[in-house]
Amino acid sequence: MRNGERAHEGWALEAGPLVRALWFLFLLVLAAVALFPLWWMFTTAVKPASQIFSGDLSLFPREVTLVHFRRLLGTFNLARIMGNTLIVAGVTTAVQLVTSLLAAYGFARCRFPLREPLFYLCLGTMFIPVQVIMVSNYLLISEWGLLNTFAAAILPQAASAFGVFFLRQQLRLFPQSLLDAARIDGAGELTVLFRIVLPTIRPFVTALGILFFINAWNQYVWPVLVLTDPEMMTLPLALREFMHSEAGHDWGLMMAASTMGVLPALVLFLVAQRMIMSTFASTGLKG
Amino acid sequence: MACLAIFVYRPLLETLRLSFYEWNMVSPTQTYVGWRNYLELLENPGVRRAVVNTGTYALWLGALVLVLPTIAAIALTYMRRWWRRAFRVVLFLPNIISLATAGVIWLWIYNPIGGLLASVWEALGRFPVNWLSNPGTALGAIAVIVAWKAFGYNFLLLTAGLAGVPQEIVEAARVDGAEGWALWRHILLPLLGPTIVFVLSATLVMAAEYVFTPVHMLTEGGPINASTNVVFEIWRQAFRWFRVGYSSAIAVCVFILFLVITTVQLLVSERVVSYEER
Repeated sequence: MRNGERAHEGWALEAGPLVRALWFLFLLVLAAVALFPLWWMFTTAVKPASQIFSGDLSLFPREVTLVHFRRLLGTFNLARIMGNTLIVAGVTTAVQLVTSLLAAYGFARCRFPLREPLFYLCLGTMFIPVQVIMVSNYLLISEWGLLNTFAAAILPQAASAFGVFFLRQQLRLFPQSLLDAARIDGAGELTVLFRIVLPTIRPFVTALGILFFINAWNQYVWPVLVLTDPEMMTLPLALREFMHSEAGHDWGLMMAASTMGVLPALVLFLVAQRMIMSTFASTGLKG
Repeated sequence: MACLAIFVYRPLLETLRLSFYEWNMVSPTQTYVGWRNYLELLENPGVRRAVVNTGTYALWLGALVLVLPTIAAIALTYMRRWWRRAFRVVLFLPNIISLATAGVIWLWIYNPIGGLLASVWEALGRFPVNWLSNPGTALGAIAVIVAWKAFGYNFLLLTAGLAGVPQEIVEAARVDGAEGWALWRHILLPLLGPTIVFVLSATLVMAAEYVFTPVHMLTEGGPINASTNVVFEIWRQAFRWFRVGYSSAIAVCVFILFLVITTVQLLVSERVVSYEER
């Protein structure tokens, strides 16, 4: 782990103070562009309505109010929508973790015919855009009578090729002798996987789980097709609905809703920031 | 595996089959029309517009989330420890925000009345522009939203790629007198080659795929098709105009396009890697 940490830090180059200052400035501008829309969203959400349209460009709101958030609970049915999103994202994450783990273990540690071609077929799904297959999936889900159920939002995403790929990389590093020892002791494949392998790769599984969750929390393209009932909508869908309704010009309210959409992912990211980024960085591309 | 089979490969074949039919999603009969959907595809000016737009998106995104992050990754190697970490976190941050939320936030920034850009624009003494409903600017406005989100991911991949260059190589090159531009031009950027190729193909995919969400949310392809793209056409044909066969024909073409991009990317990166080994 320590080694990985160092590798992901990378080396540094020396340069004169002027060059360094220019590069620093450049990065600072980029950082400002990255952060500013979020800050703007947040300040709009806490400004009283009278200040929102005043063309006032000050960075900090003069007055802070929670009135938009309070109204959000009334008009937007916030609790229900957050609950929906939480269920869909939570279940999707759990299911994806289990399927990824099982499939990755199979691909990394079991021998069966056509293993390699099957693995590549599985990987290939990463490069197929959702939109290419969404019409046909939509027809299937509606044939099964699942439209406007959480199952419709979750089922097509039950497996994640990225998860399989990522965990397979980790599992291949696992010492074979330990596995053999466990098998000689009479442990079944599943026992080996959950009792011996899982505890050692737990950090990676956690990082993957957080990524899955953020991803599922943000999901838009597929749910927007199958969850059309306002009672079942997840947050990104509700935002769109909200935007097209009469409240769509009430920017304080809209930004308060956006803040609620950003917040959970943001908190998760900040808490687990190092883990998430090194997961990305260490899988990198070479894998 | 079974899940992937049911929800990825089955629909792929189903889409292929449907592309030879004409069907409105409700009627019980599907009419076999052979290649007609594909022929119409070639003639339809709307589709041509979507293809051109996809190319334009790719150019925009190429500049914003390929060239810019590469420069930023270079800049980062000159930073000291603490700043390096801080910049990496901050620049990656927008990536965790959903395109839907990003769309709403930027809609507010673009808003002609009271929006941030409009206020700045007016303060500069210009007429307010409605960025998203002006045919000349809608595509760019959408591209900026996608770029804002996607920047951090590409940036992270590129910095990781650079960090993966062994320190010994960097040291050796500097001992040999390679400094500044020469070091980048001859040593580091070529070593970063495979990463750049990967990021490039990811960017092309983005130009088709990510653009969908803000377009679907904010402009529905308008004004006058100015911001539509090929992937959005799939949705529009099927779910707005209920032409499942035609939509499937577009989907098949998009799939083939992606297949080509991915294959080229794999081939190129293999060539680069084997070149390195020699």
